[in-house]
Amino acid sequence: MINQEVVNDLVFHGYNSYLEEFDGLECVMVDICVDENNLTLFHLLPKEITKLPVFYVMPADILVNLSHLFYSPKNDIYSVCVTTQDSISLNFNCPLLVIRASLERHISLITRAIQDPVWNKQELLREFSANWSQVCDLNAREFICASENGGIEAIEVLGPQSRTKYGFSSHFMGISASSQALPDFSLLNRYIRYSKRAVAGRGLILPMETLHPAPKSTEGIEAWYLEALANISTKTKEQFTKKYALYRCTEYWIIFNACTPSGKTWFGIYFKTNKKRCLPTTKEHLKKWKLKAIRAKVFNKESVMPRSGANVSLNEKNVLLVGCGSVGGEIAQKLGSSGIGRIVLSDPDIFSIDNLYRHVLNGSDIGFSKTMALGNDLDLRFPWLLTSCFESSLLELRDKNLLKHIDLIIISIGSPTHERIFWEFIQTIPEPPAVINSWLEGLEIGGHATIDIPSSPGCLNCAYIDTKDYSRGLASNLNFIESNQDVTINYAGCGELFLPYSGLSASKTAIIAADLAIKYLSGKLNKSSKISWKGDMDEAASKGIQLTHRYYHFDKSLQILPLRHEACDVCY
Amino acid sequence: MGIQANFFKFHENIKLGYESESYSSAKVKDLSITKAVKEAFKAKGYSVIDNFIQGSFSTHTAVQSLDGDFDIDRAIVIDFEDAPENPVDTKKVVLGVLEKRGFTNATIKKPCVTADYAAEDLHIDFPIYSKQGDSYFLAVGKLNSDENNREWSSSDPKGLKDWVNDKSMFYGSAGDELQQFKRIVRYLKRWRDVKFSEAVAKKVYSIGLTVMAKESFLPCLDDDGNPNDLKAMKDTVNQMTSRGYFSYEKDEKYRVRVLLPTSPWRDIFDGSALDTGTQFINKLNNLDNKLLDALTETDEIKQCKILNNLFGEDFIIPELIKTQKAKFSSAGTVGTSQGA
Repeated sequence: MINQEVVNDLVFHGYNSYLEEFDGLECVMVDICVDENNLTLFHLLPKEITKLPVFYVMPADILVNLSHLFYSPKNDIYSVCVTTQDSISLNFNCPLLVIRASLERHISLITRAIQDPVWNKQELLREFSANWSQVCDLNAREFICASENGGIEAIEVLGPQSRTKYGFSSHFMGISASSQALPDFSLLNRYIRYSKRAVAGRGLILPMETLHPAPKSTEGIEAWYLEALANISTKTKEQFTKKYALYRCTEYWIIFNACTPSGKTWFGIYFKTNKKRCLPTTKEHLKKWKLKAIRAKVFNKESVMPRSGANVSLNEKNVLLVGCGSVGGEIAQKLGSSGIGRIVLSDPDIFSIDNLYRHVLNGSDIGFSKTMALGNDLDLRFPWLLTSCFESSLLELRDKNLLKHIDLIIISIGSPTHERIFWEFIQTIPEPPAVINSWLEGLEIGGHATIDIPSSPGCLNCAYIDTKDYSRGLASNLNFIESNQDVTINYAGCGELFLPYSGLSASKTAIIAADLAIKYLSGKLNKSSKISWKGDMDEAASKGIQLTHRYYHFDKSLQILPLRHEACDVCY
Repeated sequence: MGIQANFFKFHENIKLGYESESYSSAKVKDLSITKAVKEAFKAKGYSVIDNFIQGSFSTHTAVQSLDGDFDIDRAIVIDFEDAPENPVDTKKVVLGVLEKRGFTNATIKKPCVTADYAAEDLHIDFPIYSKQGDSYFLAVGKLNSDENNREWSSSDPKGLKDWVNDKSMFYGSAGDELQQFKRIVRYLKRWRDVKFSEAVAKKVYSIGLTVMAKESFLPCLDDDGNPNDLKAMKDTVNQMTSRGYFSYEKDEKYRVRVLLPTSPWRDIFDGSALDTGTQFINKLNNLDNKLLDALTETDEIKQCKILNNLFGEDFIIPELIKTQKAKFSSAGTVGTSQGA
């Protein structure tokens, strides 16, 4: 495809298009007129259409303060951000169509920005962060600011560790007093308390009630700063001028935060001068300081948790997880990532080489108790998660006082006998917590989880009613493998038997158990339920293992189903 | 609780197995007589190479009889090489053993030796087989049968048992379907004992009901494997009435004809009276209708009343359910596939 073909196509479809050189390159030009503003869009044809074709627009003086336009001072033109590239799929076999579709998107966006000032202002605020980045040094790392709620507060600024290119240590970090109530071994504290980082200086978190659009060039930063100071609330201003601005220094960081239509945005300005001075608050003061816009990211619960997929409302929940094997380990990870605030881990086992491939823990944890290793792992991964560890078996946890403040017990020990004994104990507690039992079956055939919610009919006994005679069975009626068959593998004689299953089976089982847990804790599930996943029967068939009626007829994998069984003598 | 739990209770009440407590004295008798027969055969030079239970005990479809009688159907197998030319000779040995042990009415019938033990309400049948390779030959002949009426007749004593226990026609895990079929056979037998006069009930042969039920069986289990015996029985009975077992003769009279599904493939009801066939089809139709009534009824107590009327007092009508007693597993341990 050549430029002339594009021009011919555009002209054919009514555009005022022609070829013209720009910066020494032949471009496809398109003239448009919006509200008596004559604009020219131009496009440099790529060799291959792999993304939405970009049109630049000029003259720049008409386009100042329009949203979704980004200024390029080098050529005095604007680029237009019409969409996120990954959100569209292109008909790359018909490039002329793609170019025309892209042109229409560009014109539509520019037209709206010009004709609808209210929308344009909203959009400018929505994209504040992106616009602010335009005036920042893009090679500089983001400033990470730990703040509980974004209120006005001093911060201690830690410099990056020398020769560190990656991770928290490579960033400037601002630590406020309110952000330090994290567990000792949390991700953040690991990089604050246990790393040898130099204090670079002091700074301030400054909330803004009113936000003005970001400056379009670095020259506009000072004016923007003064306007921002003029518009902060009286109370904040008083604190700022009478307390924080009096601090004398040669370097200072102000980290702003403000609400935009797309949520709270954080950004900053770095101040530098040649001798210790109070912070500049007037145009005159600013003459002795150099200002640099910096990108900032907040590190607090309200921001990090929802942005990374966790639910802040679960942070008050308290879960007891019994069994930290391959399924329990995965469940713990899923619970942590959901945002749950406290997990009590219990398992008497030690992590060994035999566990390596299907467990979430790694080789460095060999020899540690599973709970301790898993607890440390969780603490590091999830900053607002508190863990505590017991090395007790399920039956040793039959203690009413211990379970008093637990919102949910999750059992993943794979021992039907102990699980049923514990269930009988739970029946004796006046206000018992909900209980999830989860287990998998060998040979990749499937896995199951039940949740017994005390206020709702359905209990573990329902999952053990023997469908052959409606007695209390010894194996679960959810199982896909018929009872009384040997599915274990024996490598080294007595005591060395193990159930053959993969890490994938453990993960799938953990996912369905965690799904029940999270739905229950977030109030979306209030009925005792069961859930199963069903795998292929190839491996079982090759070993001559008989499968249950349920396996052959089960077509509700991953669906949450009622747990109650009509023949249960407890839930009648 | 649901109607299925009542069916399970009913089944518990009527089922009779070789290991049942109520059968224990009969079982002692059986083992003792078998031992005596084996010894007597050994003394005569007949090598006993096998013995096994035949009939409903072997297929786990036996029911408690209403009058408390018990049956023993014990096959004795001798080596063909040692078998006397006259098959009745072996039956005479058995007759002698039974007579010595206080049995009354001990008789050599054409297919077996039969006797009653009044003190135990026990009826016993002893068929004798000789075996060559995989082939069985039944000792056929009465006490005084001449050469033309006695023979070692080719037979397949285990074929019928295997046919009843065969589950290859069921999809997937066939065990649950087979168990449901066997429960339904037991329900049918109890229905027969309750609904027919004693004389007619004797002619509605258990093996006939079993074969008809197997050929007509439509299992009903939900996806979780929970059985619905009421629906399965309704569907099966409906099939039994419409599969061509009953042929119209005249004057609203029917003849019943059911072929053995294994050798010798004879009509189980051969020589059966028209009255038997007529009562049989009429009562089956009635059973079909009543089961439909029970199916469409939503109140569990009312369902049980209908079923109690069909199956007798062993189908218990529960009181208004306020508590439910835990029923524990009869197994001490069960191997499971569970892990975590």
